Amino acid sequence: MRQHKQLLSSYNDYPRVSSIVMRPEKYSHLKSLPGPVIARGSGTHPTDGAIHENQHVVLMERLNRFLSFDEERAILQAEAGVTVGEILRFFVPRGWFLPVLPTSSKSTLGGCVATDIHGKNHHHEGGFSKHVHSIELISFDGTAKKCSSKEEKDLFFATIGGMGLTGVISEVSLKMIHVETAYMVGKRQLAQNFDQLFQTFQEAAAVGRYAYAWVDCLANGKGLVVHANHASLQQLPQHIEEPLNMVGKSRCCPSLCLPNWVIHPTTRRALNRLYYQYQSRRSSDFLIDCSTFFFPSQQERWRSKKGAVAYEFFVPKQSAYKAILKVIEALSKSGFSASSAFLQVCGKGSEGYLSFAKEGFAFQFSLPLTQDSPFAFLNQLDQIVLEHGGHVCLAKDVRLQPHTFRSMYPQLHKWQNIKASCDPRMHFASNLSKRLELGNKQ
Amino acid sequence: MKPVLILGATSSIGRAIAQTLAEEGNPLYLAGRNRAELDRIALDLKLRYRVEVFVSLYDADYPLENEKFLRQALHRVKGFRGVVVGLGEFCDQQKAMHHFSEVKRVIDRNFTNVSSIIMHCANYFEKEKSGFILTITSTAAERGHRQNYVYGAAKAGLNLFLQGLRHRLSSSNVQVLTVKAAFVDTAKTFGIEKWHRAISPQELARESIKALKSGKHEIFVPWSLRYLMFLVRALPERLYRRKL
Repeated sequence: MRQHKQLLSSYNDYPRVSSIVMRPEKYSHLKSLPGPVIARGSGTHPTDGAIHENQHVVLMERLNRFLSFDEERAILQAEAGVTVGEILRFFVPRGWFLPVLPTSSKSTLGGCVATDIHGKNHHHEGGFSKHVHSIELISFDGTAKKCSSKEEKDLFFATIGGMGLTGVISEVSLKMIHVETAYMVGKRQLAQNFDQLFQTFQEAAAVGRYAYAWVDCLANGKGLVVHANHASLQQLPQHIEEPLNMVGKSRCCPSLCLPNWVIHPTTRRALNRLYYQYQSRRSSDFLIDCSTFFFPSQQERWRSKKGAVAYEFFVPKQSAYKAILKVIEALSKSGFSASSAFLQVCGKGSEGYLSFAKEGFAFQFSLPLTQDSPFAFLNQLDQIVLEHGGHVCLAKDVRLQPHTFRSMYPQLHKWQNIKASCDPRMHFASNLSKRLELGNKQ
Repeated sequence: MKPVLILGATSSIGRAIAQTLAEEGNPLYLAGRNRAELDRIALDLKLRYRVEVFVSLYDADYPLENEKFLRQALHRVKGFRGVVVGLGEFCDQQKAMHHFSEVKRVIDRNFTNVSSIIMHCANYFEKEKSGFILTITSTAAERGHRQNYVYGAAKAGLNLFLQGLRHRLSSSNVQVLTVKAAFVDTAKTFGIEKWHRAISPQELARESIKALKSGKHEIFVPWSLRYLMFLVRALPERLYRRKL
């Protein structure tokens, strides 16, 4: 297999490092990977978990074949490089839908498993891994192991949310759900302040299968609450003749590299206000096709030349309101040009040892990297999150400190035991595993 | 409907062309060297496009087996609508400059063995009085370059072979399409530095099938190379002989 040096970065262009990349095109190529190595999907997460400075990175993009689909049990088996957008393109017209969707249509199945993504419907459907029937994992010696919640249980729970550090995920089988139409029907509600927003959001999450809130962090948490359900055939207007036709194309927004004065909080505030005004003039009820709903063109891809840094944290239900309000206040005081944030509600968590979402709320935003570095500020936020019993999402992290990380994830030692037994020579490693000292057993 | 025979189906170009053809509902007959890969690609195509897909082992390195291969394939399916030849291999020029074995291997893989299977297919289609032969060749064949003349020579031979074949088959309603591709982003060219953007296999497949449908005989992918290659051919050779 040919390999060469290439600059790779996280989705937010930070950090940017040179790695030795390989791109297998045949399944058998996965069995003889030189180490240390990490698999990379489409790189749609703002994490340093899919890059490895001066070491090997395997691009999984060409291992993207559907292998089987069992219509009776609704189980799709595919190679890990298949993207979510591709699955929707072929399966929505046949009446099938993915149970949990990431925010980018380019995310691969392998990436979704490795980060155990949580969608806008976590309170309803749980995380991605809950719907994974089984996975095939290539371990350091090239042997393929099938794991599921019944077979090789420990390895399975270490792999979901395990950031690809237990092996290369080569195949994924997952359960699909049935839909009648490719449309979403739902409602937008505006909120003047965070109090109102939090209240409305909880009500919305109770009625909507999918729910999220857009929060303006620079204006004391006013925002927009959206909830939606899959539209049934009766709910569609007459003029739509093919209910399962995906009309909207999944759009991708190129990252906008802007000068520092444009990314200034004042511009951000003004734009947020405009967006809010625009939303207040739109009708509150909507019926849109699923790709427009799930993959909106992201306005959050502004960054300076150096890139941006994302921050997502989870807090349990009891302390959520207090913690999130504290973070919003800190953000509006800090003088950083924080992007607007997304609030999501999470249901029962998965059993993955490093899985992110548990019962509570998830809150995410990003900060552009300008002259004054936001890292010290984010360390302060870590303390707020930790005080309220929360933790930071690994799939969106490039800067967490190892000691904070250890106190956030109490099941880490279990994960480390499994890592030590399945990969004793640290064959699978990334910038993230080095930074968080994931290999070093405590 | 008769299937299309795809030779070299496990290569990224072969797979992309198979996908494009399957998208339009053509049944396929995939032939390649790696059985496990062929099966995976066949499963994928069946699931995505719901077309009939046959697979068969085929090794272009044994040209004497070609007749038997075609006979067996025709025994399995009633006939072929056409054939896509995605055979050939990009070569290491440095090695080919000093080792005759490498020169022979490159010329065999890109010309001798390929022309053997094309010959058998051509005879079949001539008898049928319909069909097409789509062959992927390279722009490296337009002019001898110091960086890749061995590969270029093999491909140039193939181009002339196809040209002659086209003239021969013009009276029997068989389309012979030569696709002259620039740098394609495949496993063999991954990471090689180039002065222009590599074209993706999907792009190549789309352009080729479009040309096939519109009855063309020879295309460049990307199309703009047509003018550039005209220039490359027209410039006096003296200009290429500069001292480095």
